[in-house]
Amino acid sequence: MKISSLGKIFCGVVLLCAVGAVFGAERFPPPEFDSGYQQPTMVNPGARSNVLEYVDVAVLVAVMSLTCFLVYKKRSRKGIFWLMLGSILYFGFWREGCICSIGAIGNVVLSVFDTNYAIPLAGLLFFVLPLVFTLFFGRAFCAAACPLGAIQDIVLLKPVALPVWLAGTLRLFAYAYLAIAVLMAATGSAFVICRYDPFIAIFRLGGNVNMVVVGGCMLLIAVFVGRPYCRFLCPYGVILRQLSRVSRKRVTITPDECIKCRLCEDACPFGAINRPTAEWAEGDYRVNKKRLGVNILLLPVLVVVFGFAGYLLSGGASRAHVTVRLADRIYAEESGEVDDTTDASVAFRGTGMTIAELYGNAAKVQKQFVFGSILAGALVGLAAGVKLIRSSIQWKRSEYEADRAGCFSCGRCFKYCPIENVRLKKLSEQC
Amino acid sequence: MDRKSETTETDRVGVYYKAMAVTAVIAGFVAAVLVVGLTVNYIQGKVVEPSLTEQLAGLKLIVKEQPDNASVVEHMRQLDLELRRITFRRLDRTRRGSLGLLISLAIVFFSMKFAWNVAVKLPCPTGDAELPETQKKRALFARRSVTAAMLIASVWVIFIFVGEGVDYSEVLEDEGAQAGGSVVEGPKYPTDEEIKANWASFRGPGGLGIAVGEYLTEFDVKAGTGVLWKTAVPINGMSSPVVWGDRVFLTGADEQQRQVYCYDAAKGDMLWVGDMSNVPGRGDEEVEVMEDTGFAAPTAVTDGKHVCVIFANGDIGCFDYAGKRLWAKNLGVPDSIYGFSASLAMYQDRVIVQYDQGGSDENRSKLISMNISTGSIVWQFVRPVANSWPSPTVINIDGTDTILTCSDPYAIAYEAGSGKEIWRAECIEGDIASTPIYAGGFVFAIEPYSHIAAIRTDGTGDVTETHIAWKGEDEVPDVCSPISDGNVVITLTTEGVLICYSVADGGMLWEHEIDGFFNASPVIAGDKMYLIEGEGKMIVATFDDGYKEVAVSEIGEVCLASPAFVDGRIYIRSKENLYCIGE
Repeated sequence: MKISSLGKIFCGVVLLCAVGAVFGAERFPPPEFDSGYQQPTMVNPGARSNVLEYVDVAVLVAVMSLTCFLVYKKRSRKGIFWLMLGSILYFGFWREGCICSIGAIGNVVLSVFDTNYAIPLAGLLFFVLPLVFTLFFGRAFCAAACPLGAIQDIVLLKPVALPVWLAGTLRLFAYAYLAIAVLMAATGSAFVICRYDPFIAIFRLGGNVNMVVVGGCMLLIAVFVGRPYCRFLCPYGVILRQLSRVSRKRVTITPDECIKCRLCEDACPFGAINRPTAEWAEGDYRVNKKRLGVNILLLPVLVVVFGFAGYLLSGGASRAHVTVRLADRIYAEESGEVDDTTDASVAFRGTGMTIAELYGNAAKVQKQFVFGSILAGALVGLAAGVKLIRSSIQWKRSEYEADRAGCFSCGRCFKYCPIENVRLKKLSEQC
Repeated sequence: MDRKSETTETDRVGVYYKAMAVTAVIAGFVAAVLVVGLTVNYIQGKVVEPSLTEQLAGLKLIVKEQPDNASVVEHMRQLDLELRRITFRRLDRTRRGSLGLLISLAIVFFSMKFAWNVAVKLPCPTGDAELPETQKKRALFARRSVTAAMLIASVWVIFIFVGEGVDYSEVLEDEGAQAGGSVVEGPKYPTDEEIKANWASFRGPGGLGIAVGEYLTEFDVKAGTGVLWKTAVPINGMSSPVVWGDRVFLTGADEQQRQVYCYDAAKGDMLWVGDMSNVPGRGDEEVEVMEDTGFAAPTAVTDGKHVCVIFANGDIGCFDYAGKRLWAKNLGVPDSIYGFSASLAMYQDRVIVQYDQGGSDENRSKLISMNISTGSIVWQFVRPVANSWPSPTVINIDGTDTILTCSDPYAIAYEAGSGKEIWRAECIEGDIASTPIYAGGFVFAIEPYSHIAAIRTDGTGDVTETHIAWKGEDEVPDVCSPISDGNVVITLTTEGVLICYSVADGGMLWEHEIDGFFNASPVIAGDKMYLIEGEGKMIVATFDDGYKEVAVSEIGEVCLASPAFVDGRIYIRSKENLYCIGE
């Protein structure tokens, strides 16, 4: 086989340009600052126009609407793929990953707990609109509108199927992450989702080295494991999963009745295709019923135990808050644990606030953390308990179907269904 | 589809697959090269640039010391330019490299994706559909893995995070305070005895200008007789020395720098220099002062653990005895026509700031009480007075710790603890500079060139009409503060005229004129008074029975600051040096 000459030339030119970008000399070297140089007046760029925020909202709505059309009406994986690319370019590289619905969790939570903080309307809409779409159409946002999901989806080359039990357990991380994110935002400590967005350095073509490495690793994993962030970490995904369970419409693998041909069995790289179940023996049912009862009784115990674990963690967690960190520093300086000062401690001593006031404020924050950590721990306990209960239920399914909670509406499975191929006239009904 | 067309389709797919695969490989190679390039670029930023930056910093220091050395300046400029070039080139390479890497990786992924898409074969399921046993096994694994995850999480919680951090509710309880409220700290301030044994603030204990003990009356700087040590002061200032134990503190400032100096009282060695730059809250407002006032007229205050300083631009701060700046803040540039000069006073663990500025009807003047170790404001009150130049004094009057202040138009007494006003007397106008003193049951306040007023201290509220016992109107000073032994009160004008009044009734007992000029306030030690003449003389005289000169010693330098007297030693600040006089 031969590659065309034109193709070779094209590849060569593209690659040489890319290498030249790194080692090329400065075409316009920086100016030399001679003694006669006049320092230009500092000009602060103006704030981004509010109108553009609503343009972002309009684009989000348009992408999600188009996704629904492509998933439910056209059943087009290609269309979704190109839409994902568009989202990566617009919400990712153009908007540099901000504003995003996932990060908006922090803004919404803080606006609820801090009366002095007002969330911008666009931010609120970014949080609410995907939820509304999910209630009606499943995870349309995850399918193509989310740049984080889209970039992972696009780099997926050689999917490795994770065992269901492992995927289910790893998903607990997402619940823990959601709990931590809400706790940190509610206490005004940090927007951890935004701060630790693994793809932000990629979208911004630079940033903290650690985040570049984390983002690179996450993408490398995504080459083999479908959407690892979405499935095992995304806190917004936790909410979308629950809403998607009760969505009005849901993705179906086949456009008609399932013929149980098993062709789609391994089509989903995200493990979101549920197989038909077989009948169990009577003895198995009895054992399973008992187990279910035990696990139901265990649920409140797990909630309490994990709530207590949250309480134990609250002291350490509260150090995420700037007031507690500052109090720790001042405490260390006052008690002679350290000999030097930091910029923060010097600045504090210049504020006029007394140490007792600082300790008082830190104590208040610690109390908030105690309460919040108990709730956060309880949430994780609840998630683990429910998972145990779900694993004790004998589900009954008669055909292959997309998992309502886990399906990202990516449309990959469509082409595996012979009924779909008949619909598309790629196969005749006789075949 | 016939056999021939099937073959053609297979060939076409094969060509497409190979083209994509080759593109992916080449793009992957480019991506690898870019990664290496970016890594080298990153390392360059971490290794080369810091080294050059260090060199540049060294050159800057040399240029600071040798500003006229043209070759060093030129070298520094070249290095600076080179560093900028390297930095900007690196940043540009990073930007271009990142973009190139992104593009090449995108080519890799798309090529591989398309190649995979054309090569992928549809699944051909074998074996049986899922059996109940498989489902049960999967459910069992799910339960076990969730349980294992919970156990791991529990161990992690127990061993890693439990008990971390300080519980501030407990800390506050331990300190006997309520969370969120103010804490009454224990007695961390010096006793009255300690204050009397030292010279902690302007004019010593109570601001009275009265020294304890015996002091030399005569010395000879040229011969070195009676001069224990003499040490240079880096930056000039009008402020006076304060002394606590083996430490002497001074301040100095010019337009650019504000410093506090700590000297060893025994040898005169400079122990440390405290820098008051980069003070939080300091704006870029210009500070204008008269040359006679300067930027460091206010005297420091010390409690034996801390030294607090304030400067003409409103910068106030505190250092510990190791020279560590504990806190600093800016109170706003004071609106003072000659420049701010009020020294700091001390009450318990608080520093008292008389921050007078603007006109008397502008409500901009304040009396502020701050925690000496933290700088937090304990209380502050607006004062209905104009800008002024005297210092506040703290003294116990009839069992009440009282802050005395003088400013146009009031002499006001405040409770030192609460800041509550006790009384006020509208008896002084103009540019008030003399610090009030308390003696013989009276507070003495001076209106320059006009009168000295003796105010009885047993009143409350406005005592203008009821408690001004007498006024002396002979040769009234404009700068120097008075002294009193309880029986007589003596004033000293800038021109050198001494007037002695009877405390009891204000009758003038004697007057004497000295040749010279005086900015430093006099001090009483035993039965003698010590006067520091501006051109550099120390004059010692008795005053009981009229003015009787005891001795005159030449310092030989301009001396404008009031001296400090502690433990048999006199600390005199001249324009350029600090002298320690004693045996």
